[in-house]
Amino acid sequence: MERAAVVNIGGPDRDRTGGVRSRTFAELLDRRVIDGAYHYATLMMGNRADAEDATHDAALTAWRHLGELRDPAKFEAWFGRIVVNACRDRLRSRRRMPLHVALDPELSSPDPNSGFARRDALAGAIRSLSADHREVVVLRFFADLTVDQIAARTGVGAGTVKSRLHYALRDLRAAVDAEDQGRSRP
Amino acid sequence: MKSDESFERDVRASLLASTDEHAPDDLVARIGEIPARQPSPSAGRGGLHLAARAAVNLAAAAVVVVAVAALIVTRNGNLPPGGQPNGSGSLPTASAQTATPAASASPSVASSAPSATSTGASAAPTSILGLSPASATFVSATDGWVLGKGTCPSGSCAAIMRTTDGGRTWAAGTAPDAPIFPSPSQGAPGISRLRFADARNGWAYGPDLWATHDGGATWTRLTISGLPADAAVVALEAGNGSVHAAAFDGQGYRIATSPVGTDDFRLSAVRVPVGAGPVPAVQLVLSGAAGWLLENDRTVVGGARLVNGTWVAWQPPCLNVVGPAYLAASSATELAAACDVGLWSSPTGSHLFVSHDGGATFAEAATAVPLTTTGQITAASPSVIVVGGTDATGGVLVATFDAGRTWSVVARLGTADPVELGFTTATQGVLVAASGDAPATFWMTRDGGRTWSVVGAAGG
Repeated sequence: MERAAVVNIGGPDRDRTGGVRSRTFAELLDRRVIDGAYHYATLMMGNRADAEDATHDAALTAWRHLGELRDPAKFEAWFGRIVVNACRDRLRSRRRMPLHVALDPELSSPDPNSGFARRDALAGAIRSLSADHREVVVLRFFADLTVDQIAARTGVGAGTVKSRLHYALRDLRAAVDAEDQGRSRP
Repeated sequence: MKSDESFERDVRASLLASTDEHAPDDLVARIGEIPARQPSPSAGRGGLHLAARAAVNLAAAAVVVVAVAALIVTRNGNLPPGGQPNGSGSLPTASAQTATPAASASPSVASSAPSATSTGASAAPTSILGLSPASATFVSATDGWVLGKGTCPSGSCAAIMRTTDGGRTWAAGTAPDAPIFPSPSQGAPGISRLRFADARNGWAYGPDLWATHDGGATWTRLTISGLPADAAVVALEAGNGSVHAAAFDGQGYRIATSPVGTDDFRLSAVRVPVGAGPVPAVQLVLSGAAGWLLENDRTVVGGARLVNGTWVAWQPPCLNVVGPAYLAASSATELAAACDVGLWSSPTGSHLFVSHDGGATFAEAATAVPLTTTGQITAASPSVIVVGGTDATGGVLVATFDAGRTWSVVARLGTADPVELGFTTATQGVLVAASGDAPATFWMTRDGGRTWSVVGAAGG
């Protein structure tokens, strides 16, 4: 079976013991990959609790569908798509059933007394982007993916990715410029 | 104004400053426990998958066609155990006018005993429906509809196929002009499920609500007075001349009821609170004039019961089993619940609980259901109960024909989940099975659940 490709890479008795599969899964979904997923989820969800839940959702989904991954070398990209979808699902649910709406103060409150007020303003503007726009900004400038890689990860065309990036950056610039002008007033 | 390159550096710096250095240790630990706490991936489906996703995907589905069966029961009187079908004197074949199904899709004539090999696993059938099924509803042994994802530029157009000969042939119907989603819990506007009360009155819902009163020729989007305009309708069933819809009002789940021929929904006073889990899921079950609402949110949270035309608070089964419950009714008094006992503590698999008093009390059946996790349940009678879920091989349907004393595998679904399951008559039933982004499959039984065969599905 195709699904055995990944499950079986752990060892000869992998079909009979969860231990082998567990080890294999742990090898694929290591701390570095989890960190990356959590970082992305934090930026998308805006708070740690939802980011943890989305990351955990994604890990569960990955475990469930591990057998559908034909090439273990592509695990990270495959898991990345799952994380993107997990965040989308949670954002949709939150919009309809706002169980968690508050942003983490530590992640969301600009500190006007710090030397990073502009960066904080930019962070606020990023959080204010639509989910679709925030998604491409995070994948482009945090995950350092190319436009084509973002297209593959999000399931939209490269042209759409470019368009979203363009408008997102335009909105971010506008927000930061407005902040700059506000600060420069007497 | 800063240069593009400089501004993009600022964006990068801002994003880097907005995240923690590492994921929390407890999250990493929880993820590390997944392989030990969830069924193996070779099973195709994990515990959360069926416990949560099936609940999510289905909200109302556990008993979808049970509700339809209720309609028939209402019209024709309670079906005796093993009773004859309504108007289905001969077993249909799967031959279609528009296409020829795969050989494995041909329904089997009733066998004398359940057979795990009588139906193909997850073999991809050729398309006879022209859509990827999401939801099915039958109002008789002959008249049915399937809602699914049709082909369109956006890839998510709703499409409806209609049969008037028990699934032998299908013709395209008119669908609401709305996106289609796999689950009623989706936040975006659209639909995911379909129910008809009779040949004229039907509803597409989840999360939006659309109605037709001309057999699907035209559809109108509805709002329910007293609920927020964007309230998500997560479950809907029709029976005994009324349609009942469960919707989230921002605080909990409310039930609105309307005569089937009008759009005059009135809210009941009862409200079932949202649970503590991440994805609440609601099931509605109707049988004649009786009805039940059960909400899971990882575990059973609460319920409501329709008594003498009024919804009242109800204590559902399996409140203390630390897992979800899935409910079916074969009459106003006979209920069956499959519960994932200990799913979120110490899992012990699926267990059957039955009630002979309309849900006032439940008792556990003698033999556990041979499933690792549960996703769906339907009952043709107190003796004949079919449960969908997973075992070590993947998605599976198991059935009992002696009220839970013994169980047999009656269909294997491969990597797919049962997302809708129900009996239309004592012998005819339907199943929709889906697996991630892969095309869903539509199955039917015509021998009381002993054999199930793919009727049609298509390609995504």
